[in-house]
Amino acid sequence: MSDLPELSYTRPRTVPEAIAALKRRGARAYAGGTDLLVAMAARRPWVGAVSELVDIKNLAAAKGISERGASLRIGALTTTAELAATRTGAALHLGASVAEGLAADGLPPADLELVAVLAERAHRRAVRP
Amino acid sequence: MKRPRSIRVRFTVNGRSETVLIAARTTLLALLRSDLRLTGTKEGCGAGDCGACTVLVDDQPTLACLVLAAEADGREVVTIETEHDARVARLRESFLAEAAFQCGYCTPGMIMAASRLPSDADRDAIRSALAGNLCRCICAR
Repeated sequence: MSDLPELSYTRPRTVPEAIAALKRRGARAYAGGTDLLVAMAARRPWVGAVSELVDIKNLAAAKGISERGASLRIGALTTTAELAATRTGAALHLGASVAEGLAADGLPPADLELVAVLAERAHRRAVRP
Repeated sequence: MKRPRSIRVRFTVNGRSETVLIAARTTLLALLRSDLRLTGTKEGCGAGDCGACTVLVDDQPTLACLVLAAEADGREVVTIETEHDARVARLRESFLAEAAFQCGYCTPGMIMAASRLPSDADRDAIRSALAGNLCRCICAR
């Protein structure tokens, strides 16, 4: 991998702190890093000029999975491995993998909506009686 | 406000405390290999696909090319060079005894990834744990 561009690094502890940090010019949220760091190193145009990484990995508010009846609340920082370990996780994992694959093919990883749609469909199939 | 581009990172690596001042853009892999000269950890693809750079961060197999060195702050990192980790040591011996490699480039990553398997892991569990470690000579199935 070629070098990452010069950047600064901040690790907010709370959601308001993270939101404030992300308002700064050149700031990007950094969580898994599997797309962002690779794309930054490769100078992919869709990343834009990133000068600050805001590490949100440790924000407890965005972690975890809770199940209520036929609906699931999945924190944005939940890993696919954590997801796969839940009852309906295998199907959800598949949906997420498809979306991840699309992202890896060059689409920006901002396609959260697509992940959500795929996950919802997979979940509906999984909980169907 | 000017944000700092250099960061002080304090962490332990293979049981030894280290404090380093590094550029914020430094990956954990670069810190280990270039700054600390722990070159047992390999860079394969540099993009999180091959697993050659797998190390343990707080006991969790982690791709060192995909985390920033800054994230190691306050954590415990274990690499293939460890002299304290019995599970890694035992796997190293087993890999040698079985000649489980050809060029050996993927071996450190394989050993680190496998080192956190439970001792009663079956074939499927082992396959699954090593699914993210690619080998281009003999170990790949």
